[in-house]
Amino acid sequence: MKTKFLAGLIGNPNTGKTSLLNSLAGMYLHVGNWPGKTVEKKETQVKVDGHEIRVVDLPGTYSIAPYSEEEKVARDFIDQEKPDVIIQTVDVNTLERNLLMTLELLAMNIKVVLAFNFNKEARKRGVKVKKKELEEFLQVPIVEIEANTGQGQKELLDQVVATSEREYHRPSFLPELMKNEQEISHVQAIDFLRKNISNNFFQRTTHGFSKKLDTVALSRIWGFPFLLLVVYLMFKFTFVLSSPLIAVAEQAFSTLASWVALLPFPPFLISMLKDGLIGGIGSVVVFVPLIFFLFIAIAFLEDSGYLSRAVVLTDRIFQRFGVTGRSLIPMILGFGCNVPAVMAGRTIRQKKERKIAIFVNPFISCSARLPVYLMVAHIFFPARATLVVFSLYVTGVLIAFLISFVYSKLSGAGEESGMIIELPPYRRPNFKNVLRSGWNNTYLFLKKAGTLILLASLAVWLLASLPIGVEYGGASSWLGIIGKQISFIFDPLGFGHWAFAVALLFGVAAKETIISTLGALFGVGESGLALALPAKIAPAGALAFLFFVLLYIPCLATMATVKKETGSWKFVLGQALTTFAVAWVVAYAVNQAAGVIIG
Amino acid sequence: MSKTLYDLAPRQKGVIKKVKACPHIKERLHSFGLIRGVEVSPEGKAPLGSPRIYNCLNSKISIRNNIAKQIQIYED
Repeated sequence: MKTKFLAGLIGNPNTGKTSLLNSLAGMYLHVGNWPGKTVEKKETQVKVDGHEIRVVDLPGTYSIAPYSEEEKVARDFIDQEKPDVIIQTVDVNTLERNLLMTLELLAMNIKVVLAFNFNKEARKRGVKVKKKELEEFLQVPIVEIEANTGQGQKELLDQVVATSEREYHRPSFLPELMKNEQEISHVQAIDFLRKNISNNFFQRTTHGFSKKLDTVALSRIWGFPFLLLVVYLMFKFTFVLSSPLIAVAEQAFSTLASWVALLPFPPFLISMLKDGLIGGIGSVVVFVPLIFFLFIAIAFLEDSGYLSRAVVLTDRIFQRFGVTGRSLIPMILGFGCNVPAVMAGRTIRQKKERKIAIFVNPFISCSARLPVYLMVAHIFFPARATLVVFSLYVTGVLIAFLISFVYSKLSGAGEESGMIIELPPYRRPNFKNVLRSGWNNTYLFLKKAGTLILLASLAVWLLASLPIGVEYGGASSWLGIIGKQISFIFDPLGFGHWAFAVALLFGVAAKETIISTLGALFGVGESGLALALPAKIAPAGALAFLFFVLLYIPCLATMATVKKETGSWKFVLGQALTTFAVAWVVAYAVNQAAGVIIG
Repeated sequence: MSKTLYDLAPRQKGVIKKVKACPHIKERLHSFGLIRGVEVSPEGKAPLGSPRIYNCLNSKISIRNNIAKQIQIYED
């Protein structure tokens, strides 16, 4: 007798599929990607009465007709891995629509177990579900669960085993609903469900609470202020919780570095360990708290139901630029850090739109660029510093929109999605799910982008330290030599001094290092820049430099993440070249215009 | 010209007569329950006028105006 079973977990979005998976998995959830796809894959092993069930999570979809990449994943899994059974999570509040997919599955000759979820919520709202009758009528086993509390889990697993061991039984009503051998006719299926299910399923009220909240969230007057408030709170939450952790980590790494400096090794080796290795690991670790808390915040917004309202609220604006409101989330996160922002591109299901969102994200000014703006703006434009910084942020957003538009026009119509989305009822997010999402994303970042970032930081260190004995990043180091060679590129922009070229090269490693590099190269430290910088460049050049810093090549961590998210070096290269070209053109224009206006 | 989802006034109800979108979008609309014979009613719209929100099979579905204009209805 078979003791090992393969079960696929499927369900419409917002039916508690992830909660069920998390509660089934306990601590042992394996997270990765579907082979050759950018779609996330999660799976776990569950033991029940000597049987071993491998549960594979399939993307949350409304249909298994293979139209989107996610639906294709589900379809291929069913066709190729031939699971013993499919568990479908069902929100009993929208039973008929959920059952449409059940019929699609049954039509493919698949054994299905239905996990009815949100029963408590439904009872409160006056929805009555006659489970026994439905089971008899649909000829499919049904188990009532509460995914958030783990209730009904054992019963569900028992049913999975029992169904796996049974032969497939084709429900007697199915033949008359078929359009062809494998597919049902939607028109007949929904007609059939509506006529027959209603006896076993009574519905009274609609979501009163959700309706009230939506009068605020989607209100003509309060909708946008409310969104701003939510975004503000999201960043506040992230920064308040992550800054002390980042400070502790930085402290720990600098202590470690000072210990290493005491080792009886040659200076080159010490520098390699201290600046190269420890510095490199440090530059990976500082992202961890940021990613962890930002994704907790996003998961909270998503599970609460607000995220889809934010998408609907802003869709009209994005539509003008050839994308949808779904691009909002990566864009907003970009103001914090482009790394989690690029990762959040996963919330966009449309391949083309996701690519656009990732492509333009670096134009959104992340928090690492702010210290550069503040420093330079205060030195050159003390009276107008706020205006300068503000116009930098606005320019970033405008360029992101502009490039979105161009990209979407150039790449053709693609799959016009029509932006059909569901607004789920507002629900209290499940604490464990939210935490888990933070952890999963941090883990994925460390696993996928961590090594790349570390390697790249080591490479930068090497360039700055060779030939042996040279001053780190100084004029005669390889990096310095490269800087001198390329500084002519920046001459027309008003900052042709080689030190700026070197600082920009370091800035590719991490933007916040631009200021400290300039300070070191001019031999004055950061505090001495107030006097040193104006001696080297005109105000127009300084302003152009800021616009260049805003727009040019994404940092290494972002590029590593983009590589991992898109799977394509060509994409990364195209992005680097485009951002560089855009930065050059804008900085040139700024230098010219500012030269005329402020001299 | 037949009436479309877009023409439905608040608190009115309509039954879907025909989904005239391209096959890809039609399939997506179908999977959300927007199928011939199903009753729908408007639930409001985004502050900037599009997309609009409809109640369909007891869930709220948001659809851009240009797509809503492609869904023909019978008025109740």
